[in-house]
Amino acid sequence: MAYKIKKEAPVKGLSFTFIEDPKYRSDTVSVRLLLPLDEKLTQIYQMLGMMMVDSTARFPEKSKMAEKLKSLYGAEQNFTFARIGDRAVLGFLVRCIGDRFTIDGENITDEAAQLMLDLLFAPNVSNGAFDKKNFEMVRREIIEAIKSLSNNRHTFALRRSREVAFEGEPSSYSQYGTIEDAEKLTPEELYREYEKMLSVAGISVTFCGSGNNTGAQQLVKQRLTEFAGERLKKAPDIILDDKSLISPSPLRPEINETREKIEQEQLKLVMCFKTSEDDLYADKIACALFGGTPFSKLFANVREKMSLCYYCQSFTMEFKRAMFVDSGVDTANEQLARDEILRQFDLLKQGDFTDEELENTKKYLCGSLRIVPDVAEDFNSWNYIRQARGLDITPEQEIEMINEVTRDRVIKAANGFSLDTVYVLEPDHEDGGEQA
Amino acid sequence: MSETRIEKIVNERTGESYFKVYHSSGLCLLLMPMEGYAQTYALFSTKYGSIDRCFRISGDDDFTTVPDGIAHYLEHKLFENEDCDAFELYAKTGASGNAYTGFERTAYLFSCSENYLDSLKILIDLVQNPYFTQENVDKERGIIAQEIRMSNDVPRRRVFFNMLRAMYSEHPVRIDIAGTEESIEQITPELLYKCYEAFYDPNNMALAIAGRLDVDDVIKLCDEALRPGKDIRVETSCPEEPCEVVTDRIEENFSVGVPMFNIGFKCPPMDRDTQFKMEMAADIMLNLLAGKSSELYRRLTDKELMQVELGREVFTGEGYFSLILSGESVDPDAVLAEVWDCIDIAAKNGFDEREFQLIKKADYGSLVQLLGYAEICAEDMTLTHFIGKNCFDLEETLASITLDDVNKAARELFARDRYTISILR
Repeated sequence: MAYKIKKEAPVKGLSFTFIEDPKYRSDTVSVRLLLPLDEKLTQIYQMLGMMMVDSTARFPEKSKMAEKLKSLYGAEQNFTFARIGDRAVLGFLVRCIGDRFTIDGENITDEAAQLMLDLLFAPNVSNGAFDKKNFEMVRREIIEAIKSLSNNRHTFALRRSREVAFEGEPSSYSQYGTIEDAEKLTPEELYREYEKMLSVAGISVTFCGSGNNTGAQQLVKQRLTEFAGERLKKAPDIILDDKSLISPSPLRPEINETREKIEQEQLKLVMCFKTSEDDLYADKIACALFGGTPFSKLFANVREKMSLCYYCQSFTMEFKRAMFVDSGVDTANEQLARDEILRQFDLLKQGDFTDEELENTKKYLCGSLRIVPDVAEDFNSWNYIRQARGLDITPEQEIEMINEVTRDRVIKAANGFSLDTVYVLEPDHEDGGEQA
Repeated sequence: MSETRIEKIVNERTGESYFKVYHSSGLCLLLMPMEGYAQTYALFSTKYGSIDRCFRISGDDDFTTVPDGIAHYLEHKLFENEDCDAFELYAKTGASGNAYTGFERTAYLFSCSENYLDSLKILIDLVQNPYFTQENVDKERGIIAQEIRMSNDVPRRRVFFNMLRAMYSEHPVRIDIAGTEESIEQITPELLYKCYEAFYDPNNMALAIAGRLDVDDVIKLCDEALRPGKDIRVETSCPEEPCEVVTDRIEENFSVGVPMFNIGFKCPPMDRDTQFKMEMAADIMLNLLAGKSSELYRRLTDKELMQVELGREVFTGEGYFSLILSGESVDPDAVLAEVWDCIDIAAKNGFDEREFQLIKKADYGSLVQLLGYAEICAEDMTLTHFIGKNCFDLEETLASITLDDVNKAARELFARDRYTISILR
């Protein structure tokens, strides 16, 4: 274990994680803002994030910002929107090569850290409104993103299945929202929401790099600690400080089947199962045994034995206590695939798997975990997800927890899941392909 | 059988290094131990991809033309031995295995954090022991047909392959790597064995491993597990490709929200040495032409034709070299007009020296970071080896590129009589 990890939570609603490993070639500062998720705010947050990384008061033109990043050896500054349970997480990241790799030994990490502070606290704003030109550009980008959502049929089916399965729950809201809502937004409204956002957000900061307690870290730590301290004095009760973000999606009384059509060659089939049990690692193993590895039940049977598809895989959304099965098949084979997927799941529930299959599945999961610390961004993400569940553990401890799961726990976990939603995206023409 | 010979490849500037082992079997091992890493990533590649569709080996009088998609089909089938498939074998060692086929290369890989020598043995055995029967070949057809259909449902891929078909009339790069549902019908065990024999000789392959490894242990295992190659001489034949494109425009309807486009600029093919440097110079040139600091980007966003940068790619290989600009726009033809206007300005005036130096600096930063990923190290060692280079040459070549090289690329690589635009609406 080459890494060192240290955590601090100096003020309510603010935490720092320091991940240090001599092998890391880049220095990263990432700031995550934990926020409420409601239908209108998702679009606003998406737009805010995009605008905050595009330009700042110091670099108001995109071209100037791009030049600055290039001068820092191609530093990266990006924004991501994620849902964890029924919360939104806005992720901002600035990454550059470590100072020891610069050609003349120059220090660039302090300047990279300043870029992060700029994007958080010195946006491209005047007279109480975001820059109009930048705002319009981002709005157009959002509108085009909405129009393009169905371009990739596979990801569109996954997106729609999530919306259908979690209908009425905050996690079903699209971060792009609707074109009508985007057209109504103003730069002034966005600025008001930006201020509110900073006053309520739970802030998690992670530093990853080859050194600890660097000038860059000090800079960010000091500014954010001051900021969090001041806002705590003003309105302590509105700050989000969740310890766990689990928001189970309730099982429907009857299975929902939704069918939609689009121009495509292959039918996309997504099935959502939900559970009320809470045995995280048993759920993960059950899902991996079912369809989460290239030697799983679904892979071995639906793909290899029956040749029905190229992909048929399962994955969990642990914060919603849901599991999805995702596949692409010929229209003519839809029922065959559905029947086999459900049959395999029933067999899993009955414990129809060998001890060797169980051990191999654990090995597979543990193998993936062991290499998480090799890559700074993987470690950063993994750590945040665990923190969002209220778990303060290392990958090595998680490996132990996986290895402790017994066969009985896996069977119990599998039996906790029930089919909730079937989403089918059909080709809009009659040619469904040949029968297998 | 010659003796195993080891060469240490060193980056003189940083002191970083890896080992190139010319193994007695004929296989080249590329080994990069990475201190402090838990992962071992192994990549066993053959210089054989979808474009190698017409070939003969020593002793053959005539060339054989094989069905489109056979290299990819062979990759699927090599993942299976007489008793089980590779995934089941890797399951026992805890490794995660996979494989892929490209235009010029097929690769088999695993990633693991334990028992890497056991997994390496599995990898070598799989690649050395083909097992094709009529039954197992037939079984795969349905899976690959679904893979083809899945790919056809990805608009980005559709608009890209349409562009290649519009640009190249003869070169097999115009054909989808997986072939078509019709072409894979013609694939038989005999044809698979023929391709295997021609292209899977150790002399035509490389095994790259990066991450946690011990060089001596790997060589010892290879001594035991590798069978000596026959050093089969394979000759491929590729029809002559004219300089002109097939058509300067191709359109398809696929119900996409915002029209997607690829603009391809067909350039004359060049020898591998020239190509290596030109590829990097062209990449910098495209960045200067269409990156976020460019005049083209400013025009496209000001005119509301695009909201994000144009995608940029230098697409090269044996017998093909082209530049690709891609994106989504309500009016791809207006984008094309702006692109040509800015190309003309760049060809006439050249690019800005300061901006050029900034892009080189950023590219250097990118190379530094990429060497922190075992997967990318293995990929880079393999790709550069197959063209007679080493992976530190990337940094050296980047340093040697001048603004003149980049301006020359802008003047010589674009021509109005050899470009095409592919649009998907």
